[in-house]
Amino acid sequence: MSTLAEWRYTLKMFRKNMWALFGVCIVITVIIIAILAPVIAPYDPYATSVQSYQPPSREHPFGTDILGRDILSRVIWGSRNSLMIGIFSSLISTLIGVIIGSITGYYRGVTDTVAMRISEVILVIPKYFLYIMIISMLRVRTIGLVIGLIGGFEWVSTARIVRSEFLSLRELDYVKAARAIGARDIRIILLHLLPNAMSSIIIITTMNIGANILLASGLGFLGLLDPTMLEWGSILAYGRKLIRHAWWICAFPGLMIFLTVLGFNQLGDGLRDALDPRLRGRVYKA
Amino acid sequence: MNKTILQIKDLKTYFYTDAGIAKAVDELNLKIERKETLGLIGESGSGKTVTALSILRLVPFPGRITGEILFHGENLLEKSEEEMRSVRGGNIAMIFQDPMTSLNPVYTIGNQISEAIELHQDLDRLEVNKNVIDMLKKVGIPDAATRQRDYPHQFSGGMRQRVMIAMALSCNPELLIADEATTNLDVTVQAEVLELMKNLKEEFGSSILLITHDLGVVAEMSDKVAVLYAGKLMEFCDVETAFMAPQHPYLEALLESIPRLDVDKERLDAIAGTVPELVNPPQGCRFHPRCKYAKEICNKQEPQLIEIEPGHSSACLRVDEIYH
Repeated sequence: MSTLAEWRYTLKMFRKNMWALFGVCIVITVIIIAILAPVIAPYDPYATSVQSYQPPSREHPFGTDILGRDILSRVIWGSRNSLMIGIFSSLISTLIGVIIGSITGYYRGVTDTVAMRISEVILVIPKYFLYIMIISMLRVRTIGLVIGLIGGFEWVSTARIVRSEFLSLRELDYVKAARAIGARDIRIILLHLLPNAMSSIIIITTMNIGANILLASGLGFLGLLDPTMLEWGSILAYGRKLIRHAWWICAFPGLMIFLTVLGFNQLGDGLRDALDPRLRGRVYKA
Repeated sequence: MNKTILQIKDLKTYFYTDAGIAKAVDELNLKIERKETLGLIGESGSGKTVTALSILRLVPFPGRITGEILFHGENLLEKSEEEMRSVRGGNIAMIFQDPMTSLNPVYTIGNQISEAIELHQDLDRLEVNKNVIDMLKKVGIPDAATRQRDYPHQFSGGMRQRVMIAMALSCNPELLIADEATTNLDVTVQAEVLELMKNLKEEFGSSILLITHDLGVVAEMSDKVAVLYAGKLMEFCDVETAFMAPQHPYLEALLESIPRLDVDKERLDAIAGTVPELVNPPQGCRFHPRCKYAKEICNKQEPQLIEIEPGHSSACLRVDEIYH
């Protein structure tokens, strides 16, 4: 029953937070770049030319790589896949993680034991080898598979964090009070416990976005992704061995990854502070 | 026209732990009449809260409840979960001990009171909101229309407990369980909240099960008194009798441990020892290791609750020898 005034207040709190605003700006800019890639990219990202290893210049602001391809255009086009992988895979892992974490944390018992042992098994398996195995077994390298894989295995940390939050929250008196006014379990989980665990969930989701972009980059570097699929990590990986001769090949995609991850983290931080009524007071006083 | 609204028969709430069976409440019999306040007293760990949670069937795992809890003649222990949910909050409401943690920090207090109303009454939003503001006014929150939009952390302890009372009474329950509702408040606020509960009880016509270890609160509020010790009912009588002529050594000892202005004493009499563990309670009478009247018979035979005069029962084997 959040009223309009309350949302306005939340927005006001959010706007007061410089870092959060900075995060929003970066995230929005990156998303716009991804959407408008065909319009703003000066060159075809796949077009080769004789001008290889050009340092940044007026013609090629980010320089060119070994085949004379324009790094700026490649970074712009690459933002599409990187963002898609980062955002969708962490949404999937958050969804799975929150469902599993809240059920196990609230009901405990056998469900909890079974789910936590499964999650431990997943934690123990070296993730890269697992992905390598699955991708080579399936012989599919589409972006959908990457998103599904990362989302389908990275939920473990989210689930464990949500579970631990629920374990401590479920013992609090207001949960008892909610039961005593006749609320059913699903209502307690969704309306009483989840909002209280929200700050951790937001933080871990936004952190996952950054981590998953890096994870996908690693897969690209190992040649497990479609080599024609442009994505920041692969651009960076290809330039890595040349870093002493042509720093710009790694530097610019790396900078983009850095800024995007930073942006999402700040956005998450700001969202948490603005949405949590207890923290709002703190921001207000500061 | 007295009418029994809640009758507890042979209630046993046992916790099946790894260390053994903890008999938190054992063969408890109680009766609450309409518009009556029953004070349930006892030391910490005597089973007061478990009794309250048993009535609402909210005893946590691994607790199991047996016996009968008759609410208007219907056994609550035989009801389905669905039926219980409409009883909780609707017919029987509960106020918890700690007002600082009983409200959800992420919702406004208006939200939380309307939740209680919406769960039990089919009203549109405007009516719900009107009820919320009415309730807040009744419990003495100034500027209720504005304050309902505030969050729990913006309220003091006493104010929060008023909010809890508003929440509990919002659906006009027939029985209000107040579990140490004023224990964490300071004395002046405590007096205000007690006064408020008294007035609201008159207004709404509810009965109250008042759980406390503060004998002063009992004297102030209750019509009847039930004394619990280690899960067993020791004495049950009306409030005057309880304070003037107790018929059980435990209640007598409790009363002696209250500081008094009219008696000159060097030291306060305390009851030696502590409440026994519930997994392995003492043989015979559970109070006998701490009882100054204890004789050999007390650790052999378990006393039964017997009615010594109408409306006054005591569970002491030597009640006739000691008090007559």
